[in-house]
Amino acid sequence: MKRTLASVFVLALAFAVESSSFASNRGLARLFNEGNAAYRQGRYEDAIVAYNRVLTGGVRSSAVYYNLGNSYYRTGKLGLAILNFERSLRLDPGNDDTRHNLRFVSSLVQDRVLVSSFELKFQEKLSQLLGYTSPNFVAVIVLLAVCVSAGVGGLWLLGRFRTRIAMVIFVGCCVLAALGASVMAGQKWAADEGRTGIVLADQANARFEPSETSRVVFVVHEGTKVWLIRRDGGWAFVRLANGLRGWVQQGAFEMI
Amino acid sequence: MVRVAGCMVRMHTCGRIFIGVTGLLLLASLGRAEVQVFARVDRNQAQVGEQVVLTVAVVSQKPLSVQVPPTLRISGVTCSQVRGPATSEEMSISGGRLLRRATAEYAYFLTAERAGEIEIPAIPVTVEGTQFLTQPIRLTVGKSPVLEAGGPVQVRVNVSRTTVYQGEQIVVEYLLYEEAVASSRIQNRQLVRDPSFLNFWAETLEDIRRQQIPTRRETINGVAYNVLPILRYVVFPTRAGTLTVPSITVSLVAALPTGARTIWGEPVLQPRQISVSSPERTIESRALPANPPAGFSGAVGSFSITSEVDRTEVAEGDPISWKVIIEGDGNVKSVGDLRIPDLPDFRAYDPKTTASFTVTQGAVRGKLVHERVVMPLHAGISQIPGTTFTFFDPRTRQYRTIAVEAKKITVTANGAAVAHTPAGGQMLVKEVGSDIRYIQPDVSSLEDESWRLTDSPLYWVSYGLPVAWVLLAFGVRARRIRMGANPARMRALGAAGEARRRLKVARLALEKNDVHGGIQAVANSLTELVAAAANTTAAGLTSSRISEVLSEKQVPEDLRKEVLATLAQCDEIRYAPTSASADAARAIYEKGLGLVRQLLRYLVP
Repeated sequence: MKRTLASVFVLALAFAVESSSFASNRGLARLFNEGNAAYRQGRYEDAIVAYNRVLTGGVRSSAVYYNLGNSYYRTGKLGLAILNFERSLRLDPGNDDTRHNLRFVSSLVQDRVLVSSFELKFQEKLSQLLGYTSPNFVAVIVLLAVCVSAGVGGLWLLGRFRTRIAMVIFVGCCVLAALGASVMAGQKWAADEGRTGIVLADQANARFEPSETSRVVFVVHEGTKVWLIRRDGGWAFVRLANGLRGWVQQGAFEMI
Repeated sequence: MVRVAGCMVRMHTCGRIFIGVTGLLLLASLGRAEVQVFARVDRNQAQVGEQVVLTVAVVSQKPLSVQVPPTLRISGVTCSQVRGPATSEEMSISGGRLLRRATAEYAYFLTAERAGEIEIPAIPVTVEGTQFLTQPIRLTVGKSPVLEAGGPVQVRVNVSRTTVYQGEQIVVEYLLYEEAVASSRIQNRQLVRDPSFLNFWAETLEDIRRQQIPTRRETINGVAYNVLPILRYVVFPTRAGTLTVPSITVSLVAALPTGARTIWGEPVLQPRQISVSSPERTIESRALPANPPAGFSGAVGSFSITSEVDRTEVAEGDPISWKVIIEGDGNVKSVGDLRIPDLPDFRAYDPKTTASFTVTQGAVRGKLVHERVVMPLHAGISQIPGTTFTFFDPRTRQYRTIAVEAKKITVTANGAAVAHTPAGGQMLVKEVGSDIRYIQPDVSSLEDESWRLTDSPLYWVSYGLPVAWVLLAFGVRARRIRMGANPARMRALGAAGEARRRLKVARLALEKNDVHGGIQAVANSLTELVAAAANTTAAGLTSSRISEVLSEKQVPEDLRKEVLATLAQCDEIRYAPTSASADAARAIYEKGLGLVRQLLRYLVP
């Protein structure tokens, strides 16, 4: 009798938690749809408010970032539009619409940074390539490849599956696992080392030293992508895609 | 050596003074002869245009380091670069002495430019750091026989036009005419000197010294000539007035009749070096009309202008190759820099201009290509502006200005697809505008997509399964290998398994009250186990043999006796006419089970 009561209590608790989560999620979905409706009616500022409330609710959705980017673009805030498209791409790297919008809005910004050196070009291309694949998808593929190769290898050790097909499967899965692991490592590197931000200020001076009195190295404008190297006080040492480096005020850009 | 000879003289008696003086003179003469430097020519008399070889020779007793001037400056003579040395060594025995003679010769090829007496001065030659001088040589240069007009060999000059405007194109052609019957007797044709065009801008079109130009046959006054083009120029008068087209001189060796005849009546021929010059021609160059229009840079002729781009639809930032081509009859090299208007919509790189002349069916056409790489700065419709070109046309006797229209370039945003027009008549559907794509559609529920599978410990723990599986397979494989190395143990283990299986059969039989079957299985279990230990079959085992095998396996005697007693009990039950009780059979089974367990300790290594 006691065990039955305990079971009923646990089930009731789980249902309550799930119902609460569902209700919360439904509320955010309603906000999201409100944002979409505002966007359709051309009330872009209202749409921005609605989408930001969804994000404040704790949901990191590529669709929300995408729509937010669109709304910012319609209000002329190119830097924020690019920032949100970049965030959307991080969650859904294969989304063609997001890539298109990011490319389009990026072509409108004032700065044009030409990547000159081979090394930087390689890094840029590698980042793009890595960005096309979902980390979760790659993780599953690697796990499956390891399981299959281990299974076939184990059978081979036991003398059960010693055929040419087994060899091909084993080698193929090993290669796939190695490639997948490399991509995972690259994505990890991109997430850790490739910390990037988007300039939101209309114009920002990059200086030789973290001081307003220091000489200006270069000037960047809204929408330009920067790589954060390190921070010092209210300053950040950043790098551009063409290799130029300088200190800018931290408030001039926002991390993706 | 002189000092040595002097000492010798002082050391000897007066009676030997004569010998000493003689020796001194001999040594002195040998000293002079140690290095001999002299010059020679292969002939002392030559004709203008004829080549004379001047040889500077250094003779010594052994090879020495020699330096001669790289070339010579002699009035009335042109000199080639020195060639050599040609070295040789001779050894001979004279009067019981071994004589050595090393010679180094340097050759200069001289060509007389004028008739008269020419003195080749002493040439300084440095031998082992000591300078020597050759002796001067006198050369007598006579006038080369010039063939009279209409002779067997002639050089003619053809001029395309004799009255032109300043800057207008004229083709000048120098031709060597050889009588067809005498052509085979002519050889060593050489151009003595290139024509020097004064008051002309000259461009060489063909040069027989650099390429093989075919000869043609021409008949003049009933005489057949082989016509060999020598030089062809396109020239442009650089000033107005009467201008002279220079002559050229060709040197050749021809077998000419001496006037004598052979006994068969044929003329006697003698090879002779002769020079043949072309006549000079005059050109009337007229000045261009006054007050040329703005933008005229001096081009005279008939030209056309075109503008080309390698593509009209590009992505922003992609380069475009833009060419302005001026082509026609005239000196395209005098066009100078084209007046290209500003390109506000493009980033323009430095232009590259190339000019060339081509000969097609005897006419010379010039082509000037002004090529520039431009890069559109922004998306949209950009325009490469048109340009104009002004020249004087001698045919219409007036200045003309020709123009090319502007080129429209469709520039798409960076990275956007560029549509190309197909070869057929159909039109591709092109993207004419671009904007961001629409928002994502409505969603019924939102999911947090920031979660990463790799953040879950379970993901990494799941890698343990394949690893454990591989480790297990490795373990099993290692065990198999280990067992495969000990056949006796393998056999014993197999027998132990078989014994257990039979005991199980016995238990099942006894549970079904099959006493005989159960006892049979117990007996088989024991005998099979012993047979496997003896590596034999159970059929051949007797009680004594079983005892021997167990003894060999160091089974204790009491255990041996117990095994044999149990087997005997089994036999009694199996072969007794009355059936044993089930309890007795179960007791034997239990006993057999215990014996198998004990025997395995000794029989399985």
